[in-house]
Amino acid sequence: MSNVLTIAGRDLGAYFRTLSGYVIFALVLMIDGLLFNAFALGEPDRRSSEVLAKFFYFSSGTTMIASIMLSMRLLAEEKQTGTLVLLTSSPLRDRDIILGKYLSGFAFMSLMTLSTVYMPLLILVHGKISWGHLFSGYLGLLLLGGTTLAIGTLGSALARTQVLAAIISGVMVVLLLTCWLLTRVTDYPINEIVLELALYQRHFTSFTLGIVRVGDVLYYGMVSYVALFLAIRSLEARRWQ
Amino acid sequence: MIEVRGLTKYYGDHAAIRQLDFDIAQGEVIGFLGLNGAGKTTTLKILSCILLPTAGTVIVDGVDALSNPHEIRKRIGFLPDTPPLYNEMTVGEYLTFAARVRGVARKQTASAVAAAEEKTGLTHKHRELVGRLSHGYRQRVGVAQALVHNPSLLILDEPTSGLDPLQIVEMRNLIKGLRGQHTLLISSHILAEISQTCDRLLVIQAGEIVRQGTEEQLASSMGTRVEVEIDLEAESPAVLEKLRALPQVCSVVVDPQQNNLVRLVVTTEGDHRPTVVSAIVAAGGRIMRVERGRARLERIFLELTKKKEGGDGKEGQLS
Amino acid sequence: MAITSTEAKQHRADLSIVYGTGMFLVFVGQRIVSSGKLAWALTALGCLGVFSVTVLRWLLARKAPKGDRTGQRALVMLYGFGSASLLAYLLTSDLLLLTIGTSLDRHAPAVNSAIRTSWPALWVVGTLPVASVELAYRSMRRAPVFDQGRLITSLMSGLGVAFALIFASASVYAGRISELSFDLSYFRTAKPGESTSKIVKSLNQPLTITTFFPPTSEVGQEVASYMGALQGTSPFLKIEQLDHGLDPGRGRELGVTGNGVIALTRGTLRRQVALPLEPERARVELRKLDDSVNSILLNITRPARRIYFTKGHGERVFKPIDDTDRRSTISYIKQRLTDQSASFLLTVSNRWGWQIHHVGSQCAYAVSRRHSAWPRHHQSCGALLDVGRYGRRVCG
Repeated sequence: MSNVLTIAGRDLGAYFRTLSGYVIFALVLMIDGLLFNAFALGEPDRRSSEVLAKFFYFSSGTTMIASIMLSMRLLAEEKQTGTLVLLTSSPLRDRDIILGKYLSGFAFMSLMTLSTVYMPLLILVHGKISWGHLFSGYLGLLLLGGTTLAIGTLGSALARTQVLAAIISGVMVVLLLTCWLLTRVTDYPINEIVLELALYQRHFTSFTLGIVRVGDVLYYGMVSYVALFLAIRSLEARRWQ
Repeated sequence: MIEVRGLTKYYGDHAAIRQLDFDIAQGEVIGFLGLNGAGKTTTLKILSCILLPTAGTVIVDGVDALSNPHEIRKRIGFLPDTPPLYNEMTVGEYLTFAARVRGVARKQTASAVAAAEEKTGLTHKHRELVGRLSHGYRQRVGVAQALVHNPSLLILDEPTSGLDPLQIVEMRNLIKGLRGQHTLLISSHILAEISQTCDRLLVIQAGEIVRQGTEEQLASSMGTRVEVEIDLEAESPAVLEKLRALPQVCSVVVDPQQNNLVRLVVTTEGDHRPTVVSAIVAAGGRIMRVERGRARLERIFLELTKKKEGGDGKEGQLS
Repeated sequence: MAITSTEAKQHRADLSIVYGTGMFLVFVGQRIVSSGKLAWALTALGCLGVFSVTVLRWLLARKAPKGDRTGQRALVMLYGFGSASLLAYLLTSDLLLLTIGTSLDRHAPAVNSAIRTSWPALWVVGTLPVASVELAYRSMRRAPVFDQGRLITSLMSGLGVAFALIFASASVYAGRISELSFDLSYFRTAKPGESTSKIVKSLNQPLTITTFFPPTSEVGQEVASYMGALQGTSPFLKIEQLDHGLDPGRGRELGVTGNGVIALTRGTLRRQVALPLEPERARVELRKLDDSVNSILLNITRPARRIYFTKGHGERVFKPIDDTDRRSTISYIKQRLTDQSASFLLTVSNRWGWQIHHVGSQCAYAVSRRHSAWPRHHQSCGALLDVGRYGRRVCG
C-alpha cells in the first residue's frame, strides 16, 4: 500500500506543478458555471429538485470529459518521456503502479468535482433541496468520473502517446454511453446485457433524482475494477513484448 | 554475481539477441561494447528485469531473474540512455521518490538521498528543479537515482551520451569513484570511455557476443601487431630508410605535425620499441616523443565487427 | 526443458482458429439466423468443429514433447471448458424439445436454471484464455525453446481476465435484482412500485383517480408526478387533477371536502388518501404514497367474493335467540367479511332448502355444512355446482 500512496502522491503533485491540471480545473468550473447559469437558473419556474437534477445532468458530461483528459497522461506521458522505466525497473508490482496512478487521478477529479458544490448550494437560497439529494448527486458524479478515469487509465496503458490514449479512452466511453441503442436491434438476453452496460442511461439518472441504488453503485465499481484489471494486465504484457 | 546463459530475445521475427552467455563477478567493471542496434540495450533491459527474454536464464546472486524479478530489482540500479527524470520535481524530491519506489525504508530515505547526492556531486543542487539542470547534471541525477538504494549491481546505458568533454571527464571520475562499492556494467559505443574505466569488455555485434576479455586479451587475439607513434624534430630520409630496413617493421607512415615536428607511425610485429628507437638514434634522428598507439581498441572493435559482418559469427571466449 | 527448433514448429495454432470459428458459427446459428434448418445446421457445424478440435488437441497433448506438455494440456483444459459450455447451452436450448419432445426445464427446473446460469461463465473461461495462450505461442514461434513460464503466465493472465469479467457480471446482476435503494430526495415521493403498476395494468373495469390540490402546491406536483407514471398504463384508468376550490361539485360527488385528497373510485366503491398541503408535513406521507395507493387498489379492484352460507339445522343463526346465546351469528360473520372485501351483500332465497348469501359478485370460497344425506338429484346439487363454478374451494 505504501508504494501505491508514494506513486499517487507524486502524480498528484505533478497535477499541481504543471499547467495542465490547473487548465482542466479551471475549464470544468467555467463550463459548469456557464451551463448552470444558462440552463438551470435561466429557465423560469422550476422546482428546486429539478434544478439540482439538471445541474447533475450537465456536470456528468464535464466530469467525464475532464476524467479522460486527466487520465491520458497517467501512463502514456511516462512512456513518451521515458520515465516509466524508473517504475518498471523498481521492485514495484504492476498493480501498485496502476492503482497509484489511478488514485492520483481520482483524488484530483474528486477535488475538481466537489469544488463545484457552491453552485447547487445557491439553490438553497430560495429553494428546497435535501442534503441527501446533494450527496446522492455528487456520489453519482464521483462514481461516473471514477469509472471514466479507470477507462482512461486503461487507454493510457494501451497507448504510446497521450493523444492516442485520449482517443482510445474516448472511444471506449462513447461505446458505453451509446450501447443502449443496440437494444432496439437485439433480442433477449443480449438486449438486457447491452442495456445494463449503458454508462449513463441506465445507471446515472437515479443519482440525479436523489435515489442511490445499490445496483448502480455496484455497476460503476465493477466497470472500474475490470478496466483497472485490464490496465494491469496491459502493463504486465509490456514485459513480454 | 551474474550468470547469463542462452539469453535470447525476439521482437517478432527479428532476433535482437541470440544465445548470449557471460558471467560477471562481484566488483568487476564491465564494458559492454557494440554498434547501435547490436543488442546492448535489450540485454541491459533484460538484466534489469524490465523486459523478459524469449529464452535463456539470468541468475543474479543465486536468484533467478525470470521467476523472481521483484527480488532482482531490489539489487539492481539501472540508468537508461535517457535518464528517467521528472522535470517538475526538485533533485531532492526526485531522489526521495526514487528511493521510496526502490524500497528504501522511510526512515532511511533522507540519509540515502544525501549519500547519493554526495557520491554524484549533487549536494548543492538539492533544491533545484530537475528541468533547469544542465545536461551533465541531469546525467548525474540519473546515476544518483540508480544508486540511491545502494544496489549491488549498477547498469549504466550510455552514461556519457551527449556530454561535453569536461562533463565526460567528470562522469568518468564519478564512475571510477563507484568502483569497489558496486559491480558496474557500462554500455557504450564510445571506446575511449570504455577503455579508461572498464576492467573487462563484452563486444556484441548483431545480437551475439563476438569477443569478451580484457583489452590486452582482445588485442592479442587480433594478432601481434603494435603501433608506435614517434615524434621527430625534423624529417630525415635516413631515418626512414633505416626503419624500413628493419625486419620487424611492417610499415612506416609519415604525418607532418605543427612546429616542424614529424610524426612517424611505425607498425611492428610485436612490441619492438627499443629496437625502433635505437635505429632512429643510430640514423641521427632527434626523438621528441615515443608512445604506443591510442587507437588500439578502435582497431580491435572495427576488426571484430568487420569479421562478424563477413560471416564469421563465432564467439571467442578469452579468460 | 529445451525443445529443438524442429519440435517448436509442432504447435498447431490452426486448431484454435477452428475452435473460435466453431463458437462463432454456433452464435450465428442460435442468435442471428432465425430459427429453421439453417440455424441448426450452423449450430451443428460449429459444435462439430469445437468438439473435434478438442479431441485433436487432447491427442496432440499426449504426444507433445515433455517441455511443451504444459502448454498443450492448458489448451486441452480450455477447449474442454468451451465444449462443456456448448453442451450445457444445448441442454437448455430448444434442441431437446425438437428432438425428443421434452425439455430439461420440465423435468428438472432447478438443474435447468443452474445450467442456464453457469454456461456463460464456462464459455468465458474456455474462450478468453485461449487467445492469450495462442498469443504467447505466437511470440515464441521463432524461439529456440518454448518458455513454459511465459505460457503459464499468459494462461493465468487470460484466466484472470475471464474470472474478473465473471465476478463483475455476477456482482452487477446481483445488484440489479436486489433492487435495494435509498431515496434521499427532499420529498422522497416513491414512484409507483411494480405491484401497483401490475394492478393498474390488470384493470378490467374503469377506475378513476382524482387528486384535489391547488395548482401551485408542491405536494400536488409531487402527487402529479407519481400519477403521471401510472398514466397510460391501462385504458381503464382515468386520472383527474382538480382544485377543490374551483371544482367543489366534483368534490361533493366523491365525498371530498377540501384540497389535499386523492380519491380512488371504482363503480360505487370509493377510497381516499389524505395528504397535508404543507410540504414539510407532507414529506412523511409522500414517502408512503405508493404503499397507500397500492393497498387501496388491492382493496377496490379485488374480485368480490361470494360466500355461501347454509342455514343447516340451526347451528348458526342470524341473530342470538336469547341472552344466553353466545354463538357467533351469521350477521356478525357477514359484517366481518364485508369489512374485508365487500362491495355489496345480497341475500337470495334458497331453491333447494338452503339459504345462500352472496357477498360480492364472484365467489372466493364457500362455507357449507355437510349433510348426512346430500341430495343426489342433479338439481339438488345446483347450489353446490354454483359454488364450484364460481368459487375456488368448498370447505366442508
